[in-house]
Amino acid sequence: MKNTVLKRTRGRANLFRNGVALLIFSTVSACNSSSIDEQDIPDISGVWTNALLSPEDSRWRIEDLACARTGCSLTGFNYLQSLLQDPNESRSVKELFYDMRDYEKEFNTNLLTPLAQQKATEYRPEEGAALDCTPEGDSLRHQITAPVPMEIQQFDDKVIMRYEYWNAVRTVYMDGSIASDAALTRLGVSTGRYAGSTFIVETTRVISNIIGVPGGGALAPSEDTRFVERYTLNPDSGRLDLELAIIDPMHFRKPYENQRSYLPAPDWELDEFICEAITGEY
Amino acid sequence: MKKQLYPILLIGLMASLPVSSHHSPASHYLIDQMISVEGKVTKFRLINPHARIYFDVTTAEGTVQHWLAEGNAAAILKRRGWKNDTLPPGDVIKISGNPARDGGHKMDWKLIVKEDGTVYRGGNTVGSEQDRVLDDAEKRRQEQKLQPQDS
Repeated sequence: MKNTVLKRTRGRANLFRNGVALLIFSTVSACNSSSIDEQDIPDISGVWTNALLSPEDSRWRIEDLACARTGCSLTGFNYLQSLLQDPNESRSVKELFYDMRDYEKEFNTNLLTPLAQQKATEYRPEEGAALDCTPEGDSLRHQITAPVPMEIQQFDDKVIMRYEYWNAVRTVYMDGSIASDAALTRLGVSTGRYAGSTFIVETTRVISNIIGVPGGGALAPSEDTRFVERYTLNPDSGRLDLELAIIDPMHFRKPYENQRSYLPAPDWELDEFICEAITGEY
Repeated sequence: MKKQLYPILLIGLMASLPVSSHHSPASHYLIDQMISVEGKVTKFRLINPHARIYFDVTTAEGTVQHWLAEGNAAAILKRRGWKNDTLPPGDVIKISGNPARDGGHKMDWKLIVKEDGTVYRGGNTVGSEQDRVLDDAEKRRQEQKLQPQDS
């Protein structure tokens, strides 16, 4: 699937590019072409797994396994990674992880604006409960980072991101246009671009659903929040590393960054996310 | 078969974890507390957003209580080898987890032990389950240290 989609779309791209190149070759240097060089596009098409679903894969780093379920902020992940790489560090993974949580808590407390601190403190988990099968109240951040398989399909004009979680489908438009008056939705409006081995997605117009913040509590970001995902392909391991920045000056003094890593799962297909609401019987 | 209801116990130490969605365990369960009960499975539902085990617990007084335990999403458990018949009706289980906020006979399960000693995890990975994930990571780390390094 991965190669088929990419080759098919790239094949069309080559036909188009070749034709355009013939027309403009005499006047424009090939070095100045604005079309995307195929060599520069990371091949990230396919189904991706995470460290919670396939922990036995030897390519996972210890920090991937430790952060597999609950996730880590980028700051916390990098801190844990530095501890694990310290040859003089003798503490267990568990001790290092909770050290990281303390560090993360302190860092992210400073990250929150006074308004955000107030909201996070006032949040009551029981008031956010809605154990039904409607995804509308679930945040974009959770949609992106939930430890459930996802699939990426790359085309010239768009990238499709499918998630087993809620059967969600995101379309990332590669032409750079976002309608500023688009309606707010749970998944927002996304544009994308490539930068070397990194696929960058920027999303706005997202409904303000509650997200947790490290250190405790949760809050609803503002409607002007920008979500920037950076998916970087590691050619040696095949691992895809995500850094998700939530940019909301009303609540965060600087981008609130999350981390997640993926490995290719070429033999997997996405299953239907069959959901059944609790009826109250037991 | 008369089964003993185990008392509520174990106040666990918890890291401060992100409350990530509208069906966060913290919404319904006291994630810094643990209970353990023993009962007989009446129904197992491998579904989303959370798998469910329905089971009956017989108290020391002979009263039968109907319980519900929630675990991880089927989307996750199926990838980890769980099947619809992993916990068939009639199986006797000892099950531990976080108690319900409303005091009902519900829990967010963390660990299940069958009568034959088979152990299942499959709970939401917070609290004690997070610690087991970290223990597994530690085991992997020690194994890596024993492996010869590439020159």
